[in-house]
Amino acid sequence: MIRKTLLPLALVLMALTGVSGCGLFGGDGDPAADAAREPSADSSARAAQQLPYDVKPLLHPAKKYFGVAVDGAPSSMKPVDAFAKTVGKQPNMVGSYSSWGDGFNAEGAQNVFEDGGLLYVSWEPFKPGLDKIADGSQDSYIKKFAASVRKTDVPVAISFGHEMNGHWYPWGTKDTTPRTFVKAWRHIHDLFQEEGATNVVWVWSPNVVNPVPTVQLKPYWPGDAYVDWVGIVGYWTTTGAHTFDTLYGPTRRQVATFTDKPVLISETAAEPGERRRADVRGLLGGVEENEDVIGFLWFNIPKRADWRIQSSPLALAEFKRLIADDAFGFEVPRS
Amino acid sequence: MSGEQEYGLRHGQEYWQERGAQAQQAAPAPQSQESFLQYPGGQQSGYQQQPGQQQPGQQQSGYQQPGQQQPGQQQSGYQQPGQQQPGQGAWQQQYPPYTAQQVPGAEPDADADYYVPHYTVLEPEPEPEPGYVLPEVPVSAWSVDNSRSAWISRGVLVLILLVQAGLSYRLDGSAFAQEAKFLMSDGTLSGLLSDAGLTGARTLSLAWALGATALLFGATRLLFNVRAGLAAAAMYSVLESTAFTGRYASLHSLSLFLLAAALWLLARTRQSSPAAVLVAAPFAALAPFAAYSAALYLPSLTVLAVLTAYRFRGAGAFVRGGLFAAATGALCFVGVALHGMPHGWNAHATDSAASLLKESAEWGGVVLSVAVIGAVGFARRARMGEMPWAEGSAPGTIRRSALGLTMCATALLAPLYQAYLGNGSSLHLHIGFGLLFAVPMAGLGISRMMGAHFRYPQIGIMIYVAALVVGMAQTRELYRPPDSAAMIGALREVVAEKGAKGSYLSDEPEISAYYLRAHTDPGQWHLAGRGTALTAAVKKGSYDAIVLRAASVPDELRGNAHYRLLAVLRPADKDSAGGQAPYRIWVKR
Repeated sequence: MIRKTLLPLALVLMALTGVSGCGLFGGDGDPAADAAREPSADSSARAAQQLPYDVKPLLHPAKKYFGVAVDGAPSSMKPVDAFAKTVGKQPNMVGSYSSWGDGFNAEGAQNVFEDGGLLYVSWEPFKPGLDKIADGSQDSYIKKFAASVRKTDVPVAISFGHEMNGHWYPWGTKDTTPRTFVKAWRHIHDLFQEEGATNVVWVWSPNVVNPVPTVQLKPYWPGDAYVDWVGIVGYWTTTGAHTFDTLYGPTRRQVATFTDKPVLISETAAEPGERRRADVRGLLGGVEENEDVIGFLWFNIPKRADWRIQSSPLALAEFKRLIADDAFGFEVPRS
Repeated sequence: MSGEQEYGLRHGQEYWQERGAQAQQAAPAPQSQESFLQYPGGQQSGYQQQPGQQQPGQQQSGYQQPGQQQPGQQQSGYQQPGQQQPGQGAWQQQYPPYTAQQVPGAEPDADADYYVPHYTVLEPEPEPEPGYVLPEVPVSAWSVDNSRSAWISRGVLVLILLVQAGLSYRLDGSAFAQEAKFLMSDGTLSGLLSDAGLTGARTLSLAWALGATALLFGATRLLFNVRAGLAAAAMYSVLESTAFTGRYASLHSLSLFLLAAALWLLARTRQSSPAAVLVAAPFAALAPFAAYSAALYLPSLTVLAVLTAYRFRGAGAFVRGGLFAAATGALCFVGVALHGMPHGWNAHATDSAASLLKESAEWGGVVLSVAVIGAVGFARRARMGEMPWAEGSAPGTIRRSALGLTMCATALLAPLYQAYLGNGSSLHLHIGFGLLFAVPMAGLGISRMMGAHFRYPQIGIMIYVAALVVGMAQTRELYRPPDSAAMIGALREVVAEKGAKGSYLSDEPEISAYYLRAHTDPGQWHLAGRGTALTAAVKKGSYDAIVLRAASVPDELRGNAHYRLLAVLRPADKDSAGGQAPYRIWVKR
C-alpha cells in the first residue's frame, strides 16, 4: 500500500526536480556567462549588461558642437525645435542653468538626448558658498544630484561655477579664493566618481579674460584629471572685441599654458547692432577654423540685451548660411 | 457455517417452534425469561435477523409496542399490565431439551437388544463472525529489514536526496573566484566536464554530494539501523555545508564523497576479516588530495576501523585498524611523492578564533547537539528495546561510548584546527567534513528521541524542520557569488579594443580570466593589490584597465592622470548580493 503510493510520488517529485533543474540550466543560472557573449540585438539582458554611457567619444568630436540656450528648454524641446526651424539646423547641445540646491533635470537630459543632443548644465552655486561645498557639508545634496545623473545614463555636460574669474558672481573673485574653488570642484568631482556618475563631461568655463586681465586662470584650474573641456564664456558686444582672436585669443593662450583640453565657446551671442552680422561670421568662422575649438553654445535669450538671433534678420541670414556647413552639428552617439 | 451447525440450528428452531406453539396453548408467555434458558430456538443475540423475518416462536428482547405481539412469541422485559395471562410461572415447560429427549414419532432401533433412545445433539451456536480480522503480527519491528521496509527506506532516501538536490539548486549565480580558479588551469578549462563549464562542474559536485549522502545512509544503516540511517541522511542533507558544497564547483564535494565511501566500506567490512578493510584505504587516501582538509579525518577513520570491527573483539580489531592506517598512510605517501604536498593546509591567518568557533557552532551546532544526545543514549543502551526477544549481540559499553565519542569529537576537528590557525578560509565547507562523521550519531539520536515504535515522531519532525530552516537561512546568507555579470559585460567591450595585447589589473582576475577566456589569455589578468602595490601599478600606468571591488575610490586613483573611471557597476540585486562592493573600472585615458 505504502509502496504503491510512495513510489509514484517519488517519481513525480523526481520528474519535477528534473524539469526545474533543466529550467535552471537553460535559464539565468550564470548571468556572467551570458554577459561574456556578444548580446543579441533583441536580448532583454542587453541593457543590463551594457556599460554605463561612456562620454569618451564625445570629448574630441570630429565635427563641431552647435549648442543653444533657449527659454523653456530642455524641459520642453519645442523652443529648441522652433530655433532649429529658424536657423535651419538642429542643435546638438542644449544649455540650461541650475541653481545650487535644484534637483537634476533628468527629464530634460533625456529629452535632449532623444533629440540627438547633449544637455549642458551651468551649475550655479549662489548659496551656501564654495567653502561649504568644499568642506563636505553639502555632500548629501551632491550625492543625490550625482545619483540622479548616473541613473539617467545619458551624457551630460556640467559646468560648475562658471565665470569664476569674474567678480560678479558670489563664487567669483570677490568672495572666494581660487584654492577654495579648486577644492570644491575636486570634491564634487570625487563624489560623482564615488557614485559612479561617469556620464558627465566636466566643463571648466572661465569668462574671457579681457574684462578681468589681472585674474590669472591657472590657480582656478582643478587639474587635467578633473576637467574634460575648457569652456569659454565670451559675448560679442558692440563695445568689446570684434574678432575671434581678440575676443577668445588671450584666454585660449593663457589656458594653453597649463592644459591642452578641448575648448568650447560655452556661452556666447552677438549683441544686436550694426556689427552683428560680422560678429556671427567671426564666431562661426573662428570655431570652424580652430581645431582645438570643438563648438559653441549660442545664448538665445533676451537678458540685458536681446541676444536672440531672430531679432536681426541680416544676422540670422548669415547665421543660417554659415551653420548650414557640414562641419557644424552631429548626432551625439547613442551609446 | 458448516452443514452440521446448520443442521443443529434448524433442528432446534423447528423443535422450538413446536414447543412454543404448545406453550402458548398451554400457558401464556412468561413475564420474564432469562435468555440463557432459551438458548436454542431463534434467540436473538449478536447478529439479528432482519426485521419482519420474525417468525412465530421467536423470542424478542427489548421493548415492544403493545398489540404487536403475535401468538407464540416470547417476550422478555417490560410488558403492559393486563396483558398477563394465566399460567404464568410455568417456565419449566419451556426449558430447552438440555438432556436427550426422544423425538416424537421416531421409531426405536429394531436391531437393538435393548432400548436405544434417539438422541438429538444440539450443538452450541457458533461464535458470530467478527467484522474484521487482525492479520498475523510478525515477530519483528520497523528496524528489521525485509523487502517492504527496504523499499520504503529507499523511497524515503530518494525523497531526502531530492530535497538535498532542491536545496542546492535553489542557489544560483555566477562563479565564485575560487570556482573560476578551479575551472581554469593552464589557460584552458580543466576537469572532467570541461566543455560544460561552470554548470557542468556544479552538477558534478551535486552528484558527488548526493552520493555522499546516500553512502552516509548506508554506513549508518549498517552501523545502527535503517531508521537511524534515514534520520542521519535527512539531517545531513539540510546542512548549509551540504547544500553549498553541492552547488560549488570545486573538489570539496568529491573529497566528501571519498570520505563517505571510506566510512561506508569500513561499516560494510566490519564483519569480514581484518584484511577486507584495505578496500576502504584507497578512498580514504584519495580524499585529502581532492581537498586537503580531508586529511584531518584519516585518524578518525582509523579509530572507526577498530571500533566497528564487530566480530573481532580483541587483537583482530586492532589489526584491522593497523592495516587501514598503514595502507592509507602508504597511499598518501605515494600521493605526496607523485603529486606533491597539498598547499594551504597549514596557512596561518588573523581571523579571530572565538568568531570562528562561534560560526562553527551556528553551522553545525544543531546536528552536533543531536549527535551528542544520540551518543549518550547509545552509551547507555545498545538498543531501544523494540524487540526485547531479539536483542542479539551488541557492542559493550566501552566500545559504544568510544564510538559515540569518536564520531562526535570528529565534528570538532575542523573548527578547532582552523581556530588554531586563525584561518577561516572555507570553514563553512570544511565543517561538513566533520559533521559527516557525527551525523550517524545524530541519526541515532533522533531515532532514540522519537522512541520505540515511533512513539514521538513529532520530535524527529521538529528537529528536521529546525535543521532545515537553519540550514536554508545560512546557505542563503553564505552563498553569495559575486554579481559579476555587468562587470564581465563591460570588460568584454574593454578587452575587445585591446585584443590579445592588453594587460589588466583586477581584484578578481580568475573570474575575468574564466568568463573572458574566449577573448583573453589568463596571463593577461593580474591580481590587484592595495596600498603601495596599487600606487606603484597606477603610477607605472602599464595596465590597460584596472578593475577593483571597492566601496569607495582608492586614493591612488583619485584624480589620476593616466586612468579615467569608466564605470561603477553595482550589484543588480542589492538583496541577494548582500552588500557587495561595487566594481569600479578604470581605463587608460
